[in-house]
Amino acid sequence: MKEKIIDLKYGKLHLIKTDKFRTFNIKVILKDELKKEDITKRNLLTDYLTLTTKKYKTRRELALRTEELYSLFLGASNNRVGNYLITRFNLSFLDPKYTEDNMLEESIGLLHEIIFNPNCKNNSFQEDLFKIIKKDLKTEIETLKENSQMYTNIKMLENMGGNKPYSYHGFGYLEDLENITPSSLYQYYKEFITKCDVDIYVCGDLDEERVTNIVKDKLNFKTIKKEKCCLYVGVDKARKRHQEIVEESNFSQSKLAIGCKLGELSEFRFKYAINIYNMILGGGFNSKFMQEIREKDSLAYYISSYVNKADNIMLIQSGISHKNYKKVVSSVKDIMKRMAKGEISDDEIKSAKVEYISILDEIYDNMENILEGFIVKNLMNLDDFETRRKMVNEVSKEDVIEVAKKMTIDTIYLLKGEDDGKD
Amino acid sequence: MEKINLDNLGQDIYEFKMKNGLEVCLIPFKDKKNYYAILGTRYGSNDVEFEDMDGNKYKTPFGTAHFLEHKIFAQEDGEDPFAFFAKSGVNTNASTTFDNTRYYIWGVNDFKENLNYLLDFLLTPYFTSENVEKEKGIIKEEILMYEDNPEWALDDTMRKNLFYELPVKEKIAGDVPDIMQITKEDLYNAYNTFYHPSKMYLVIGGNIDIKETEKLLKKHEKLNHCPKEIEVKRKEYDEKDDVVLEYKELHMNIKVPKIRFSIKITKDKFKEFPDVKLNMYLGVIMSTLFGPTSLFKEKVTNESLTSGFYLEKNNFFNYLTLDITAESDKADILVEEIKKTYDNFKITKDDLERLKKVWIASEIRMIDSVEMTVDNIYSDLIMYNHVYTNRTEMIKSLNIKELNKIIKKLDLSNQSLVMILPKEKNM
Repeated sequence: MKEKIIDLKYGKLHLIKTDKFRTFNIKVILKDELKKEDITKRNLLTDYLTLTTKKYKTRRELALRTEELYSLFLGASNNRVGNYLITRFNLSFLDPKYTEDNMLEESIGLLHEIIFNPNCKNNSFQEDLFKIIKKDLKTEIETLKENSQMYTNIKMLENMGGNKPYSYHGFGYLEDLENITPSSLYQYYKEFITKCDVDIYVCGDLDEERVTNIVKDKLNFKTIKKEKCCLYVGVDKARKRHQEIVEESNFSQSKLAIGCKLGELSEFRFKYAINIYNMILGGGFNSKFMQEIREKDSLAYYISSYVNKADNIMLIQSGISHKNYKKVVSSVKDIMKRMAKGEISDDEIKSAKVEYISILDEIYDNMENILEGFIVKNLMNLDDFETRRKMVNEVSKEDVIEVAKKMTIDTIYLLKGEDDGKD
Repeated sequence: MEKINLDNLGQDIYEFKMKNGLEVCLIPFKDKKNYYAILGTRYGSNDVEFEDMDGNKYKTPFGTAHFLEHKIFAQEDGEDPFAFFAKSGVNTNASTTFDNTRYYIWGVNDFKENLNYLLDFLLTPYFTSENVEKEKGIIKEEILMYEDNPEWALDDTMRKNLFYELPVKEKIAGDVPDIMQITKEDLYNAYNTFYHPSKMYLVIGGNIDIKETEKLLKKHEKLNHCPKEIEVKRKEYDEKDDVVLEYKELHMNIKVPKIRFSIKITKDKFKEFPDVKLNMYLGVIMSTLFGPTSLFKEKVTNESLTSGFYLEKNNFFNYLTLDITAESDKADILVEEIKKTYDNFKITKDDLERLKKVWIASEIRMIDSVEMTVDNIYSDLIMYNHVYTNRTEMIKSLNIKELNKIIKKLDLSNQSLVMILPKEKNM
């Protein structure tokens, strides 16, 4: 599967043609360099844009319109990847051959309405509607801690990161939220709509010319070119001796989050050996963590690891009883150490490669995955799917050992629960 | 083998019953690389008391079905099924609900080998005192994980509020003291009674060959050497139609209060409607009253009465529940709004037609996904013992006359509320 890239005045249009699905999916990707104070503003902004527009003033009017368009799905989300803050406008609707021919124009028209026609007056958003989303976001931020594992991960990264971008979480901050007003958010909107890099992805059984014309007509950004930043956060030394932080709570279960920093690696190892390393260590049901800490020692129901290449870090998480805290941590350290010493079987490497390839193969079965596959490839400058399929097989045991040697624990965070298991 | 065209959208499905009683449903997709298979048994956390063919009566601790789901992965030769599937990049998992336990595999490689292995490991139990004891630590952590989750607490508490006798009032995984009692004998008794092909369903979709799959199933040794069909007597329960408790308050580690508002409805009055239709009409009522285009939703949005709002419908034995879950710092006002909406409503033909259009669109979308299609067909088998291949037609046939007939008979007075408030000393 290939993408056809068309240069627009303000950015790029990526067309991915496939007749395997009964839907169309469009994503508008807007990215710029992350600033901490932008996180809250951006969340509030996309909430506002998807709540109300000039033409569809209320959530209900907008919902009625999406129903008219055969239950079209429209949403927006923001996330951070490395040094970038990225906004996605996501549109998905039935292939017009199942509905009506003009649904392509009409559906993209609604996306236009959301992005370019916000409900504003006198250089300001509407106060009453603004209040609704401000309150919702406030609640969302205040309830973060209700999800104890997520909260623990956030606290761990805050403590590990200093002022690295990964020390910021994506939900937003109450102190920033307080200062945002309907007019300051409107000013931010005007800035946002012109300062971001724009990429538009369209996937479906599409007619290239027709789609290109509609996009040019309906999604006409007026981006002002600006300097680009680098997505990757890069190598940063871990603490000589890792820090351990324990916070008391009255949850039943304790949550553990361990942050590791990754040292300098060759390009090939960075691109491929890391994935194999993570799959073996804690990436799936069959990982070393699951085999030893869950199956052998019965210490946890779940324990997993995840490598974030953009941030150059690895996150390990688990739910445990606090009386087992020391055991679990020393087991994690021990497993990581043994991997660095070469305790990796050929079968483990083989399985991890097969898994890597089959995840790639499965991308084609789901339109959302196809789109995200291309978006992430372009964003992170990855090799194309076919190259990846071939290159991963070149990963040797030495490559994996090298990754293991460069992975250093930096921060351990325990949210201590009451552990009243009543047994 | 019967071939049916799923909703006339160009997707075939094949259904047949094997000699040993196993219901099989195959859905070959032309354009997919992946496959997804579910093998499930009609045995869930509800089945605590039962009688086998020889008249032996059993009473097992709560949580046995879920425990069995974990332990079935233990193999005598020590091979870990996760490791076996991982060799070809295939994933596996399992889940237990009130009325069934399912095992699934998904991936792109070595379909036949993996299907064979799935059948093998599910048909060869290996429970020992040692491996049962060892699992208790893992399941204890799983239960503690759910205990901290307010949504689970709403769910568990509401079922206790609604039901006097039905075993759904207990947690699927049981409580920690329950699982500590479970023995390998409990697991074998349950296994021998319920893990028989005549109690099971196999649904497979994706990149598969019908003929070869059928051949594989007919040749599979363990699958074809089971006794023909077995009978199980499940305990029957007398349940009163009213609710046990109208209100229950909990205190948890949360910042913003959460509520569950449920209505208990007996299906007795609706015998003239097939279960699937009744479920659709009640879905119409909930979506129209509380869905994204409802006046209720508009009001609670504008007045900031809720920051999270979800609708659900559940079927338990002869009862249906309409469930609303919400997060709100003005929970009392929100509950009043919900009650007011239920008290006095009218659904117009336009409302119904709009919703039908939405539902038909989502049926078409569904067939784009192997996983969703397989999941839906499996759910149909568990809920209705039947695969509905003409859902689009059924949706089109919904009409205002039938809807009003149901509304007239509907008693919405059996209401119950669970509210979770923040603990005093909090976070």
